[in-house]
Amino acid sequence: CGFQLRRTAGIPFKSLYLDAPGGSAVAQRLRSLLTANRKTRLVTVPGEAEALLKLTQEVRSKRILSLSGAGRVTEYRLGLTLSYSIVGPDERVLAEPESLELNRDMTYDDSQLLAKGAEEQLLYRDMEDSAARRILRRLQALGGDT
Amino acid sequence: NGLVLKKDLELKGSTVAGKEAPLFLTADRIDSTAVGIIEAAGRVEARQAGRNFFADWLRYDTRENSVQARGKVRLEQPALLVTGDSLDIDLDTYSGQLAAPVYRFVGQPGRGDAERIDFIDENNFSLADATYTTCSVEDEDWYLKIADLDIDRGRDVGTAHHASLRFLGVPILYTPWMSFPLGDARKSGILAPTIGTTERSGLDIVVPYYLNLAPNYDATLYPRLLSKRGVQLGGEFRYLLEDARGVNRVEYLDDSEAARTRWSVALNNSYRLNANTQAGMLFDRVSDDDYFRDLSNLISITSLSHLNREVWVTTQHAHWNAELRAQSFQTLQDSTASTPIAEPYARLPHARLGAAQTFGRFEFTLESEATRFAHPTKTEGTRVLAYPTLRMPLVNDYGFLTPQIGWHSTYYALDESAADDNIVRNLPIFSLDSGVVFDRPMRFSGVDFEQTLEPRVYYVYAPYRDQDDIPIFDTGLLDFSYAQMFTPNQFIGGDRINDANQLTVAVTSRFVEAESGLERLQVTLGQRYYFTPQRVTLPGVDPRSDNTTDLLAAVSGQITRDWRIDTAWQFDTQNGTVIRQNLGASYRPGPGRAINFGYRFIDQTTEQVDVSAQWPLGRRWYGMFRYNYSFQDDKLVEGLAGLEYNGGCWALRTVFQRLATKEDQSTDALFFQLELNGMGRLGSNPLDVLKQSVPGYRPSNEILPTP
Repeated sequence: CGFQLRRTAGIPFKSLYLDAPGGSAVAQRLRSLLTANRKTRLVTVPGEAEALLKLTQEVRSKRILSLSGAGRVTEYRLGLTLSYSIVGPDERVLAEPESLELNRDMTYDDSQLLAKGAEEQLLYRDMEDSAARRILRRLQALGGDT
Repeated sequence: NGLVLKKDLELKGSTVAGKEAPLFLTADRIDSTAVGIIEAAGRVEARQAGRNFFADWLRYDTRENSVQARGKVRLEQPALLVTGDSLDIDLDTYSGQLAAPVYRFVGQPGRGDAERIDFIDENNFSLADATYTTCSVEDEDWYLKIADLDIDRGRDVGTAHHASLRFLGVPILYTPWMSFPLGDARKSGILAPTIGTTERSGLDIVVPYYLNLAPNYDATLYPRLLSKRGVQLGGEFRYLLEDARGVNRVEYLDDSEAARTRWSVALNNSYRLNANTQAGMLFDRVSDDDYFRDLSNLISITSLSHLNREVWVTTQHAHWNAELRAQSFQTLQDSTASTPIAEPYARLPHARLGAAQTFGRFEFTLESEATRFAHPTKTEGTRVLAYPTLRMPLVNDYGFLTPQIGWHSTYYALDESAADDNIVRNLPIFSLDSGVVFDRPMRFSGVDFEQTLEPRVYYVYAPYRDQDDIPIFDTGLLDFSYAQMFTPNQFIGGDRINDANQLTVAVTSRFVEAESGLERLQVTLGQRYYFTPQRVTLPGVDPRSDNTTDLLAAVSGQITRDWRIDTAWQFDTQNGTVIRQNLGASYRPGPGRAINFGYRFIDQTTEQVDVSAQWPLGRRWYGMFRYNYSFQDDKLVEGLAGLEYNGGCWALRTVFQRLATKEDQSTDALFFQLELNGMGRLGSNPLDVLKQSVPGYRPSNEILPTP
């Protein structure tokens, strides 16, 4: 049905600078994914990079999704939003900036406070990992197919 | 409004020269009437140091360096444009006065007129018998009538003595003194008051007062009148320093309805010790169980059942991270509930150490923690846990294979009430994760997409260990989700490790726009197969009887610029029933236009619809709406109807809300808020209510008019 094993050229830059706020968990995930990818080198000086990946506005959110008739929370929606852009060293836009909006729904029971708190952290990490992989796929898509 | 060419306000070079610069003068006729006196008449224009004077007649005294102007006077300067009848000004100090001025600020809204304006210096003016508004010219919807108005354009603050506020011609507020911000900057002053009425507290009026103490710290005082209860005093202090930040709030109410004093304290402070290490404290406490249910109308507040108190230190490094924490809770009971809310264990203290290191092809990680769990009634104890793992990821362009082996080791020291007060649990955990990616080009409604097909297979083996004597301190069963399917332990928390011999199979397909590389839609299908029956369970929970789990399916994505969908099903293939279902869609074609639809179903616990919207009803009118109904309880969870009018330089919003707060109790509230643009606003009712209840809600006066 037309599906073939993926053949990507990989990330089309030899060097990349990651510009992200200090506490960015997505940047941390991206760093470890990029370090595993040996073709692209992460540089510490923006001027030495072929491309700059800028992450901004990384925000975790937690919203009540459903309440019981007693006014107690039965479900939360956890969210992760962030924006990123990929530009060249001359600030030329290499990929249209994108805002990612991920979410995970979690059932809640206030008698399991500590377990649900840990589950929340697991789901945030899962979203951060998904976001990092999505950004990586976008970087690879810039290279096109071989 | 057509564009017009405008003469440069500042003659280039003249501003730079400052007060020493020469005065440039043009007019129909210019005479020198005495030594050092220059008189100009007819279409006079004078320019000096970024200031322009226009008048019918102007007299310039070169020795005094002063200007007198008469007849259709217009003065343009960097902070202020003002016209009037007669001007006298000293160009050395910029002091002087202008009669019958009509003024407008430069660079921000704010205008008015006065009987007289006294110039004190470059940035300070004092107006007598003045008006002030942020409405545009010709629009007098609201204005302040002020006996004495001091304007400080250096700090952008207006200070008024004897001011009355007229709204649509009606005086609605008088104050002997007030201070208000000019422009959008955060400045000290009274913020938009909220007037409402609630079933439980009667008339509810909040007049917040904002104190901008410094650029990086501020305070808000919010006295609140509740006609059935009394006056609540509340204050919030915030600061943001280089290494520290905090938000601290206290509230106090001598409640005549409950015949007792009621209070709440919420302290949240954190401090950065160095680039890697942070410390913080959180202290939330209220006087009684019903504090929030009686006094708040925010679902996120009224639904709180546990308040956290903790102190912590965390440190993050390239290859390791650690955390130390002491934490306990206040549990808020529902007096009408049939079973009390369980009190969680306090962690006094909790220490955690994590490490990650790469050795060639191998990745090593360590998770370890030691916790003392304390509880007033349940078994207490200390748990020490370590879980080192080693994995070897093999990755290429189209796939990956990751074998992982780990050793989970736990030690419990429990108090005498436990069946066994020393428990050791050791077990290996093995997993193999693998996936490949196929792709193909496709075309859908004229757009080129790249569609992927990503099968993933995950196998886990963990032997059985008898854990029936181990108490449940912090452990629960994870929700069945995509994240859980690829996690070795289906329990979260350290008190149960599943006996596993299981295979998870999932397929994800993504639709990526070929031109932009943007992911538009993601479809996922997954299921798990068990090769051995389950033996480890939580107390009181029967082990799983069948050898497959439910089928999980999800479709989600930002399918167009305006539409977003989010749906998920969890299907019990054994019995052919739905366990959990979520249908969600939102349509947001622009600011002020949002429609959200949700249907949620969880077997035995939840079945509800949730519809919310904000939509323009006319040129200036917006309607807001939420209907959240629980079929499970046959009860309205939240109902909301709101109407908002955008008057251009003001907005009026009114909201009616019904909210379930207890098993047999709901509360009604009605709120009004008048917001005058540029006069400050607090994120108070009903704005917070609207933002929480209607996802995508935007205040009408924040929506820029679209041409």
